[in-house]
Amino acid sequence: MQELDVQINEALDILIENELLIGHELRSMLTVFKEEKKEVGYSFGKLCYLHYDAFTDCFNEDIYKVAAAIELLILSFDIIDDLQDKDSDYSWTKTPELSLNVALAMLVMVSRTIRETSFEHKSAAIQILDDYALRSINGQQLDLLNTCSDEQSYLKMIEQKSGSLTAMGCLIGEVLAKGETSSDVEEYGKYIGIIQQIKNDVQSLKVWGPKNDLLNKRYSLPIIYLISQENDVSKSVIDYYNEDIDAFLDNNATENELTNGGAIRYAITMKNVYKFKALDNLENVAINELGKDYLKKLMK
Amino acid sequence: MMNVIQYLENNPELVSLLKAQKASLIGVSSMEQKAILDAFNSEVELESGSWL
Repeated sequence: MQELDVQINEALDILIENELLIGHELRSMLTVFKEEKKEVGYSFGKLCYLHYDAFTDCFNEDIYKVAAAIELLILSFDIIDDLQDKDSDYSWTKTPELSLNVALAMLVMVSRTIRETSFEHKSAAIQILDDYALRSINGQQLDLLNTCSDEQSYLKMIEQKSGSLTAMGCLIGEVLAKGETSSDVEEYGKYIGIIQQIKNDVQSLKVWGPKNDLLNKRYSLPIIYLISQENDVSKSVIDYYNEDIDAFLDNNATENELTNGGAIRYAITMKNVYKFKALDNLENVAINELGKDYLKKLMK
Repeated sequence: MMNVIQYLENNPELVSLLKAQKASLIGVSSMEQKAILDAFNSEVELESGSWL
């Protein structure tokens, strides 16, 4: 699987190098940002590649360009998200105005890259890209508004924000191979994003730092659970979230309630529910062992 | 689901009965029950990093 990361990285380098309409200033920033992205790997591009590889009868090397284009889209969304949240220290946060331009350039390069490939079903792939990118942006808008404070609305929001992007990776690979998509792939693709988001949400609560959702007065499944409990800690969290009241959190009591009151257990349970749903869908899809192993890891 | 988890947190003896298959949760599917039991089988500690 590391080899696949290398191939997607090479395709990204070529995309950036061959884009003649951007100058040195944009290109060098794009390259720096891409290098930072390389460190975390190219999961979305790999989802695309693996679905294409599993379903195609006639392998087309252009799939690496498509996987790279998908990674450009994801990187542009990551940059914009970080600029909006102001909670990360990636290099793009140092010069927000310039970084925003880089993200815009990336977005334009994405559909252009797919359009220039030789795939028969590239129009269908671009349609999927447009639809699911818009759904994700809609989810991001809901996330920024921070109004999804109950289980149902929160799950709907993360399905749009995160599930759309993982589903998009899977479906573009599938449609390029077959000319059509299946509901099982769409479903498990979506669930993978939800699972990863819940894991991130739990992770964010582990450290009392700038990324902590509770300190940032953001909602997530464990926080929604915590707030629903009628006890001293939930009351103090509700007061802390109320902008009209000056309130402080007792870190020890809150940590204890998160750990021993069921909040984390509840989030893990919800993640497990999506894992089992995703595994059910996966059973119905004739994907090869390489793809299946990778997908199962993402469903854990 | 929140109510179920809250109830089980307050009644850990029921978790043992569920694990031993000597009890069932009404209104909860078998898949959800498995998701719940798996969550109760995993460690939930802030320090250990083993939440998930």
